[in-house]
Amino acid sequence: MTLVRSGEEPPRGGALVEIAQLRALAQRWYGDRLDPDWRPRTLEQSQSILDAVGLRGGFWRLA
Amino acid sequence: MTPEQLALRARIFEAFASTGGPPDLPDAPDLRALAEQHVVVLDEAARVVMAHPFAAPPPHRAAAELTRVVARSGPAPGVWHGNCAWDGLGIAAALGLDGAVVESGGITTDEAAFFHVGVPARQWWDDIGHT
Repeated sequence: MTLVRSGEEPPRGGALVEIAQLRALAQRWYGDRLDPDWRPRTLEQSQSILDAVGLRGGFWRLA
Repeated sequence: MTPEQLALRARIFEAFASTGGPPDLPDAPDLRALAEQHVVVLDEAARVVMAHPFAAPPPHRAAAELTRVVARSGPAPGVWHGNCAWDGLGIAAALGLDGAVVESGGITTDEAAFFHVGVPARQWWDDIGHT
């Protein structure tokens, strides 16, 4: 997983995520990790986060 | 996850948040259980090397392979490490660090346009160090 500058050739294959999308993903995915009442997410809840930030399709399926 | 495992997890995350690194812990069934549930990643000596979004600082891995999160001001100045920019931004989110610099591979997230993900989601945990 690497950062890519505008105009730079990305690595071949895989998927590209816009930085604004990555910020939204990081907030939703990790924002609660230090909460005292943290509990593990289900696979479906994790998938919903990917969906919510627009990361949909087979590449983004967790199972 | 049992109450004891939740408490151990909280201790690990609090250590990462406050010191930038994992606590020294004895190898124990609850620690192994957290690893099996992908809450932490252990090395061959059962030391915590990842607790996403946090990663242990160098030298467990070379600095160039890690993402750095640097907060120079605000309520909690400090330096933390993650495995990639996603984790770096996650550290900033979890710690509430507005304005922290997240640098990965010589590029900051402010300079980048995209984040490249090479491995499909269902394979992320096949080799989490590589992912």
